[in-house]
Amino acid sequence: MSSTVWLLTAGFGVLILAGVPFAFAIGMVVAASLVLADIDPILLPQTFMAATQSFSLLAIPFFMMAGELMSAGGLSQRLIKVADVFVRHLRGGLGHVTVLAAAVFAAISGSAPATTAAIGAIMIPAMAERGYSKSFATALAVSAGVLAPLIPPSIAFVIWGVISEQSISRLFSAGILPGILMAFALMTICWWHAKRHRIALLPRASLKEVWQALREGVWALLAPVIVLGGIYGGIFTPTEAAVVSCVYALLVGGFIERRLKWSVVPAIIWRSLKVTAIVMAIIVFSAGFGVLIAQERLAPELAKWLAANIEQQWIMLLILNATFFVLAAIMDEIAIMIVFGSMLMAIASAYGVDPIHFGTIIVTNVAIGMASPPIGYCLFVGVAVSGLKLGQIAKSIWPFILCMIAVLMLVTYVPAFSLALQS
Amino acid sequence: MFSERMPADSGKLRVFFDRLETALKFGAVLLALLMLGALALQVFMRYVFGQALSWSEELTLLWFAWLIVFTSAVGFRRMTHARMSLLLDLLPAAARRFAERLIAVLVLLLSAYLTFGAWHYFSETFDSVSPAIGYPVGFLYGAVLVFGILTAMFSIERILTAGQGLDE
Repeated sequence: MSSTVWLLTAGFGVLILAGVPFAFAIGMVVAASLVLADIDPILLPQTFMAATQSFSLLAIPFFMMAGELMSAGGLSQRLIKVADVFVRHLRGGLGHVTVLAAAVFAAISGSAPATTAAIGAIMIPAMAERGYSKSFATALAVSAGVLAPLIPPSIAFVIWGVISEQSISRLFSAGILPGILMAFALMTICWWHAKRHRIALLPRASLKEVWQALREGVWALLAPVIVLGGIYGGIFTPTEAAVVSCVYALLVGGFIERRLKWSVVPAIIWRSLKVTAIVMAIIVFSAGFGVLIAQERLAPELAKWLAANIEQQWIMLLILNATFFVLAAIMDEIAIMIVFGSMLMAIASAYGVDPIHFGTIIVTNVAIGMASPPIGYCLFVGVAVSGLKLGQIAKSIWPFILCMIAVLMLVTYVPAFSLALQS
Repeated sequence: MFSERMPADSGKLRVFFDRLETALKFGAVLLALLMLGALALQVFMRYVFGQALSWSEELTLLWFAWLIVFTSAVGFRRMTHARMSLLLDLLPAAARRFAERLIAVLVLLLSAYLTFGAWHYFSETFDSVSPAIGYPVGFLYGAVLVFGILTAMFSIERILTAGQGLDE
């Protein structure tokens, strides 16, 4: 192997294990490879800037912001109330409320950590009060949060669309059925948990309660209609949808319901920018990585080697999923997707996997990684929201992770889940 | 809104870096609001008046580049970027400080390399103009130069402090 290849693999591994932030670790191996290969140092700043000039990626800060603004304006609370009057009387009712509210919130925000924070902050204490263990409630909020990468709009799909040069709207619709499947899987666990722990049933909501929840929740419920209706009605692009969603949250929260305090808006914006920076820093440094991988012809070489050694597509996909899961234990999921993007695409084409179907497999892996110990991003949000230790949540999250893996298998081997809604 | 608790023994350097950070945060939020406004106007003009704006996308992307630079630099100062700190967390305090300094040294080297390349990039392309509005592209490519300089400064601070009192 050439020295560049060693740097890109072993060097990178050492840096991330040593605790260098992923974005900078990527930058370091790129810089070192450029120096070794005596390539013009202009390449790094050039690819850095080129990566910022993507209109699609502009959706990221605004989808983050929309979620934050909506929860600050009390819209997540309204969504929870609506879900509550419809499903609370079922076995495991409050669990179903958490999943449903998260699913609708995910249809506005697109960010998994934002969804876990918005729904978890309200539902974890509410569930603990009704006899659920706090660790189960937190594990559920973490798992429900990762519906956001699957249910459109989704930041993960935006990034994958940019990397793989696929239509973001088509990827969005590919995530709908897997998202619904995942929601049902999570609700099944809630039902089973409530049955096993004999958690008392709650009374059914009266018609008056239902009416009131719907009346109060109408603005919150309209938000996903505007976002998704706008994208699929061809009125605006995903990026513009994110912007419209922010403006909507500001108007409803600030003028109509008046629960959003203007004084906190700058701090909310900063919070979403902070998270945006994490993703964007990885993207801008990885652009140089992509050039090197292309130059070394790593992606086609790897795909050729794999195709020569592993014949069946189903085995390849299994190995791919397993590798992603293991990698996600040491590396940020979004970073995996970006860094290995070109290799992943080469594998997909070598094995004849439909690119949209493949994108759904990748994003389902991203979703699982976000909820999985030890470094799943949503887990840390769960720690912050619940006050529990990571280990406590990790113990309760395994049934959810297993369920998600089952969903991943279905998504991987039944292409119809991703492709049925493609028009 | 962005006030940070300052340790009692904060020196002049700390005050300087805190002010720089506040300015960057303020700039980033301002840019985000400008971007929001421009894109909202773009949708409004097209949907209501059937008129496509020629400048909004290009200008928003210019602002986006600067926004990424400001926020990523602050993210490094506060170490909010995603990283795998499981092994670092196992280290005793003194070794941990050493490791944090080492990471900051590596980032300083990267920043120096990036700044060097960015300077050439900046000076070579300064005279060209952007396609739609025609602004000098130096305004855009200067962003990566500023990023190099900012991260270099913040990494020096992190070498001096070993990240103590900075991590969020």
